[in-house]
Amino acid sequence: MEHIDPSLIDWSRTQFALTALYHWIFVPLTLGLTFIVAIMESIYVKTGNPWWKKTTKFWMGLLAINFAIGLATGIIMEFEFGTNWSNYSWIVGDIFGAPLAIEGLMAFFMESTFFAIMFFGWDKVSKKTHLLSTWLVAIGSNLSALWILIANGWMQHPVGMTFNPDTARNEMTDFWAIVFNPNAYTKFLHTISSGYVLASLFVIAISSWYLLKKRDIQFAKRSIIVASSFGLIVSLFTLTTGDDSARQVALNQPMKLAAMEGLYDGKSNAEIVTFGILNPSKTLKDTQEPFLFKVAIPGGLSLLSYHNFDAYVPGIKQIVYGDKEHKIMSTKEKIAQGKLAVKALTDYKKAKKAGDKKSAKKAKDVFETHSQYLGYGYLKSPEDIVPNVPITFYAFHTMVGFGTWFILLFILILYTSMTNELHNKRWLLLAGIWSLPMGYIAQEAGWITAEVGRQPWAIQDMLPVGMATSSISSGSVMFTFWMFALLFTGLLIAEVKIMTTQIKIGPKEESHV
Amino acid sequence: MEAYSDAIIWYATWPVLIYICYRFVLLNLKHHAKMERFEMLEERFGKEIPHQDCENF
Repeated sequence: MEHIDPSLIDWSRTQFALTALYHWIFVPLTLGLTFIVAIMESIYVKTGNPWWKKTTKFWMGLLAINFAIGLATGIIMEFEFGTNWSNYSWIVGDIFGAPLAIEGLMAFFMESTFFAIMFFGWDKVSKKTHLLSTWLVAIGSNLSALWILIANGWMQHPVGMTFNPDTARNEMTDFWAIVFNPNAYTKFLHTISSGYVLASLFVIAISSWYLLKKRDIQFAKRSIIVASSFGLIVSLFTLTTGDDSARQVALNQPMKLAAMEGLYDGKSNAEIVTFGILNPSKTLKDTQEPFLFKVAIPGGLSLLSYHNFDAYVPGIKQIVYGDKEHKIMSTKEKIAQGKLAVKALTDYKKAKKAGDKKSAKKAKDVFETHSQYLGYGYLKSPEDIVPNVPITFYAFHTMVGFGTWFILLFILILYTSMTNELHNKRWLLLAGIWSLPMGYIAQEAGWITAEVGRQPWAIQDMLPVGMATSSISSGSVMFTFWMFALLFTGLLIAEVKIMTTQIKIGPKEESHV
Repeated sequence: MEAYSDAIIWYATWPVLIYICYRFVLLNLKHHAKMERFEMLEERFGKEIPHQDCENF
């Protein structure tokens, strides 16, 4: 790691963060809006009411704009694994490549093929075939997300593989362990359901705008009922999967959990902070209070993490410096073991090259004894394993806070829609509109929590980000960073402009129905 | 595969979730159509309105 330019690591990380955050502006809307459109079209086919065809076609138009731009940003991300993260791709490509390939071959082609029928085939195929295509687009886009999230889940909790010292690569040993990795399914369900929440907010916000403008009232009312009904169920599901996801974090990434909660000192009956302001001068080694102000529920963190009020939750200090009482090994010790593994690996390669079988076997035995901590061998100091606590803490609490508000919003909007009073409640319509940007912020905050919280690891406890980059100049990464920043900003402006134009035009009457 | 039963059950909740959402949407649309019909009839004929299902919302 000493040989790698730190600015290269920083620029590579910044570029990937930029691409991922931009990509995630478009993806969750596609994941959810495809299902909302499929439900609307199902109602059209069930009832034969032309209102529903008009409604479906309007939302489908907005979906198409979003889908096209989401695709462009996603493709760039896959290329970045080769250009900026070639060491990562070399070390874990045998495992990480499989889900990505399945995503491309199965889900992406399914999604794209049926998208063409869905969008252009209204008068070319039967009603039922068209409906089937719409459902297959929804299922396909979500299956794409499944394989990507299986890959991401594996990075958070690597399973089903073994390290081959001859090739210095990780190789897959159990495909099903990767597919059924607890981090994969909790991440998949939490991510897609949060995408459904965003899509519901999107439909509610635009429909609320129509109601405030007193135009397309019947269209807006019906769209809001679909979106708020869908949104209420999926937001409750998001809450459940979020809880399960947090439990996986507690088990497999305790440092991330400690950073999410600003927990410096571990404790039994650990409280959960519902709202707090971190002390900006707090450092790992001092004894200052980590919070300037906080509202907390006693025992909440222990309960949520381990289903036990009295369970011990390790803090950042215990994970870094160790805690004999709770059998937590210090990071210093892990680094020492990791360095032995790195040295043994080098010795093994040298001995093998020299044809010295005895020394090679000895080095391999030493490596296997310490290989569990190989990744730690590339860290400089124990404190390196602490992620950015303020970013992780605030991102996590923003996501949870906004998510809770969305549940309340869906209840209020659905209730007033059912009593046919929503169109008279200006404040609630305005809340519906303003909740859309909050939805996007919550989406991005979720990913920031997941990815910033697991730093410095590209793959948890195995590969630090500094070891994952390509051997290229930081200048070229910096150049492409600004290029992508301009390109993505242009695409985002284009999307917003095209969408607002379509929204202002509104749903079009069906001349032939 | 037994070791993965938790994962299989969780994955299986996805289609169930979508189906529940679909049924919930239909239920609410049906109720809304009924409400609108009541309101319309109330405006036209007063308070006493016979019950009717509204299938075609």
